[in-house]
Amino acid sequence: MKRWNSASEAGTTFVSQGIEALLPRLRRFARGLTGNVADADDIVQSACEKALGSASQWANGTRLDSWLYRIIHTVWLDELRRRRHRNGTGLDEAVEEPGGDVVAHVEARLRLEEVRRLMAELPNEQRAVMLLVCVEGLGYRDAAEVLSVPIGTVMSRLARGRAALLTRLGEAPRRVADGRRG
Amino acid sequence: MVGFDDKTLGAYVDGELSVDEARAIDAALGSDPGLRARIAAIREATLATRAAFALVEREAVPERLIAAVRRHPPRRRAVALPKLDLAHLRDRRVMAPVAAAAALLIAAVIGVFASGLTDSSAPDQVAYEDSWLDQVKRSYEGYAKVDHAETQTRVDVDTLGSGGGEQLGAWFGEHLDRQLDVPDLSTHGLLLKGGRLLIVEGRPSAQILYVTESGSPVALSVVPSIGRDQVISAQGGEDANLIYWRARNYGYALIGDLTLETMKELADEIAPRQSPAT
Repeated sequence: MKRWNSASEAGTTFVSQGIEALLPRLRRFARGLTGNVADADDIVQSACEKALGSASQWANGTRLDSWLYRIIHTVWLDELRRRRHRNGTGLDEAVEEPGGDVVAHVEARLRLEEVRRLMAELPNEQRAVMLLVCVEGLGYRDAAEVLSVPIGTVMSRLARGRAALLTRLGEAPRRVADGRRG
Repeated sequence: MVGFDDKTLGAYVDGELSVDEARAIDAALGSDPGLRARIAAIREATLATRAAFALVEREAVPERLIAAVRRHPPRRRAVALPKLDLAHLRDRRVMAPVAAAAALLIAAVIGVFASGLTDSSAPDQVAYEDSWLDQVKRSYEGYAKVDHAETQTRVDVDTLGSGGGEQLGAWFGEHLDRQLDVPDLSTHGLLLKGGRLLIVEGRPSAQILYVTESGSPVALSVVPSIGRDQVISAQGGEDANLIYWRARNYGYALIGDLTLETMKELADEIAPRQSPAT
């Protein structure tokens, strides 16, 4: 007959299991922040270790993913302060190769690569908001809590980020055609 | 396009406006092509961004990260959640504000990309794959197929003695920010087996576990889910049927190998009894 776990033990296990389940999304958020695979995974690992070391600080009833996004963002800002950001293009290193028409595939990859490159050019605070809301699907309130800013700031940064992305996407085909992609 | 700035229009696209604010934009859309174009552009930026990073989530997680998480005790192996075809289960909260423009957007921005991928990885599907219903279904698959003993955050009703349902509700209450009524469905032939805690959309969620007289699993999931209340809806599947609804910022999903008619009866009985503590 199984016994049920104490609240503290179950809670710690809950966080551990939750983090493992969230690893793909944490890697995606970190990839968007850093722009390359190695930096992103280093940050996720560091953030996970910090989170597990302070699992008791996570409050039941709040979003585990938001708590982890906040830790990742903090680790990344700390890293930026320590060294200059190496803005690589490593996103495709581990991406599976889809099949289908070769020309269409190449064009699509160029387009998405362009979006990632433009995202990397955004100011860090706009990029973080775009990733949290547009990619990770957080609501404004949760994104504001992750970044420790007011909701109005989230809205402003989102509006500026989207506008910049749209402006540059409109210019992107010309840059690709001119062979001036970064 | 008069009267709406990009912050407001972005909030409209993201489903962050109040009903009245959203209605004001809806009313203006019919007569303002500039407004329609700007909203389409904002959606384009949103989905292009989402698509650009969608495949990262599908990559294999490096062993070093998994090892880093499992190094911390207690470290019994977590239940593995099998990959499913999620195309038919989409989050209505996310779908609602963007559904009308999604097809146009995909075609305009990333349609070429979509044509080169397998069906399950098309950007519009990837965009919605983290819906709470998807996760509920995956957790049910885990319950049905995986050795339950490996899940530590689980309690069997056998350990609770008499009044097991109430005690199970109290156990959930220790971990969730609400009290949970555990329905007695024995009159429908469902035996309460226990419950477990899950992470669904990043939030702690409850799953109450039953079995039918033939031993088939049935699960009731209670998931914090921001969005408008939603009437009871049904989706049929090959291995299980799904009934779901949303009330007062919680999503409820009943899933199991029962007929839809039976499950609707169960939902009609369960829904009125579930009300979050204030």
